[in-house]
Amino acid sequence: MRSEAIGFINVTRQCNVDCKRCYLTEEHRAIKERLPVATLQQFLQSSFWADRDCTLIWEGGEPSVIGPQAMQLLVDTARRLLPSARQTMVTNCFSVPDWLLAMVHEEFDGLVETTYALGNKFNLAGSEVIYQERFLSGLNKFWSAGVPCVVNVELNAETVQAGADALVDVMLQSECKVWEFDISVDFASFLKTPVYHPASTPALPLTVPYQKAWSFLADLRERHYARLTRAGITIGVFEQNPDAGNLQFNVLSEDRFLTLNPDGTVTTNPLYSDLEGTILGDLHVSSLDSMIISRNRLSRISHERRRIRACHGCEHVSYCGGGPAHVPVFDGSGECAGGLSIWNSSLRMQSA
Amino acid sequence: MTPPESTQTDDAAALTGSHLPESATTVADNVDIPTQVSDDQVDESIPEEFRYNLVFNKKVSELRALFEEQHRQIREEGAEKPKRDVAYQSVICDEQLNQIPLDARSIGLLVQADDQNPAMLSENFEFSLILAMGSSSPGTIDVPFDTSVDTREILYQAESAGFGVNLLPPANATVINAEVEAYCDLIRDYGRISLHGQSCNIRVSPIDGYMEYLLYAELGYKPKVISTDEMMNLLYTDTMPEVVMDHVKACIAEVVIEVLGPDFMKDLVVNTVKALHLKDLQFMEARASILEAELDTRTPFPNMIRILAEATGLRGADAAGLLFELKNAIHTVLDKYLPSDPVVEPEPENSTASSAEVKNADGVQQVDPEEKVPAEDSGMRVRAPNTKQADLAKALCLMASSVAGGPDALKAVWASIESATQLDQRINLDRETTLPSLAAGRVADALGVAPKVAALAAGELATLLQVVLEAGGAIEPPPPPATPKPTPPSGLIAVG
Repeated sequence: MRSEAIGFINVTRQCNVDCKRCYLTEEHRAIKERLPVATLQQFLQSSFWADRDCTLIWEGGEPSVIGPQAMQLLVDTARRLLPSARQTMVTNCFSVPDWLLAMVHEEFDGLVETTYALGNKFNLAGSEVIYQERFLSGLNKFWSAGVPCVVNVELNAETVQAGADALVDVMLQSECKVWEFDISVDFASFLKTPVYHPASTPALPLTVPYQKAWSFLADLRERHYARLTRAGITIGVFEQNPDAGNLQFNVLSEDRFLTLNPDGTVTTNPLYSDLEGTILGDLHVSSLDSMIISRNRLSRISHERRRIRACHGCEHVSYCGGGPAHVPVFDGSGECAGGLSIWNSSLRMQSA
Repeated sequence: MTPPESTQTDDAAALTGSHLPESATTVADNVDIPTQVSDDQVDESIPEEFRYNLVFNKKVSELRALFEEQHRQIREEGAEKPKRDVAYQSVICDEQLNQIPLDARSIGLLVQADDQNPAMLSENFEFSLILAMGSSSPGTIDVPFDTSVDTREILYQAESAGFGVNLLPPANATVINAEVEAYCDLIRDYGRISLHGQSCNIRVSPIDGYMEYLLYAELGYKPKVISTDEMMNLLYTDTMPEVVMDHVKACIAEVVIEVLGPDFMKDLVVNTVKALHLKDLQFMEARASILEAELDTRTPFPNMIRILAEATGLRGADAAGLLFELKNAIHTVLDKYLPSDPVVEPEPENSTASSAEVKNADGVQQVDPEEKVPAEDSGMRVRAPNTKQADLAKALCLMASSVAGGPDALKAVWASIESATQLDQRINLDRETTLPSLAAGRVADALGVAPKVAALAAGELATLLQVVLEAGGAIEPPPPPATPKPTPPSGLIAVG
């Protein structure tokens, strides 16, 4: 059996939240585009999805802005074409209508995820406070309805600057019991002046050095995790172990990720949705099968594998996999994308 | 440690090991490897699914043509999809491997150097490797003895693809010549890297086969046949005369001792035994977790079973049996004295009562608990109305209502039980999105189980009472979940 394939489907790139470093262009986030059913059909009718486990993740922009009828039609189409594929959604929790709750229960087996940061996220009128309030309200609505919506905290400069205490306050205010963390990338800077490696892999700038990001987490664990655990809160990165591998986003995944845009363009990683150099093709012009064997994709997979040669000699490499593949392994701060210090302390604690 | 004196069988086993399932193999006509195994050597005792054909030195363009022809036959002639019973080895990447023949059981790609930089792999090879890895077929990287490609580069690629590496000896080497020496150098290079440290987790043949052989010898085991893996025999054993094989074997021994030291065999045995022990523990843990999952999916009261097992010291299966026999006993007694209403329509084909259920003169149904009731009969028994048992439930509810102070008071009592046992929170408790109550925590402490188990068991116990109250009409069964009505978009989205 081949490894699990993950399809990220941007049903729109329109969004109801303004994140200043978003990987989508401002232009796309403002346009009311919608994914046509025929384009979705073309995307899913490929040997890429055959004979393997598949997960389809509905994304945006904010997927819920397309409304219940359009969303249901896409969900049903995907279910008809890939009946055994798991379906889930990434929503920003800014607005959680009742139909979305019902859909998550009925179609996504109660699974949904969201992203969050302590700063640099605004509502469309420019209010950070309203964004924070609406996010917490939406998140709590999921959990109150028995939907364990996982939060992925973007470890951006603002979150690190605010400190672990501020994040812990939010965690304890919310009903959410599962929190994860992502490395933060400054896509706004990249979109202004894109730089690619020869293998079509974008050279993405970080918003905060690894050392600061992992120190933030070390502080969170040392001073607060016991209290959070007592409150029933779990943080995946603190529970990681070699058997489960690295649960960070996008670890050695370039060969099993495909992302569909509403305009029919396809790339690998959803973070590359608007990065032109990574686009494999347009479904209006070429088939997905031809994109799978394209030089653009294969050279990026090759680059991803070469990337972890920097980890040679690291005792954790076999399960860490070098951390998220869209960022460099090392940034010169003394830490790495995979979180060497966190792995070291996790294993020390487990063997103690 | 020095390897034992060689014999032809020992030599062969030393190189090939016997790491794959037994197989019966035939070699296709186009092979230019000198040794062939003909059809009449196929061991018919080996199940067909383990038999396969070996095909060497096909070009990728030929595999593409084969794939297209197989597809054409399926599409136009209605042919069946072929069995995956061909091992394509030493496939030459004259183009990118975009299609793998439908009959491919495995793929071995022949290393191809880059034209500009002979120490590196060609792009065709590298991209073919990525695509082969994404297929359902396992694979190998086949390294010719005279390759110019850097050893570490190939091992990196093999490791990231999860492919093994076959070091291919020179063809037709009857004496120890320069080609055989070049092959020995290649083995030394790969041995120095792959045996060093724990970072290399792929199989490198024939070095790994030799290590297996040494382990067998140390443990006093002598395989009956040279190798059960015909591919290994074809690649190594059958192509090498004894004198060459001894030389290669000595070369492997030399590099193994160089890297691992003269006493490596003790460590190898100790590590192997430890690994076996660890595997055994992992197997037992996996089995326990499967049983736990089965408990949740196949029994209605998994947490009561867990608590019973903890409280009595019974094994999980016995605790489940105890509970089920209790439950069955209650049903048996109830069905005996308060039997179901006679079924009027439709007229049963066999009007005689089953041997399990015979009514005696005073109307009391006799139930033989030893008699097995077929599943469909059991289903009918559950569905058949039973006014006598319903009347009993009503009478019990009436008594409870009287004690509580009226029907509304009984409902209030039930609501408090429901709340105290977190009956309405079972899904959230199970998903661990709701914390167990303090009472459940105390029960858990007293019984030595997890708070979640105690809370869920309380709910399971309460459902028994719930069934009686619902049957007696004291409380209403929960309404079926309403179909969600899609609402129109709120229009609050300010974009676009």
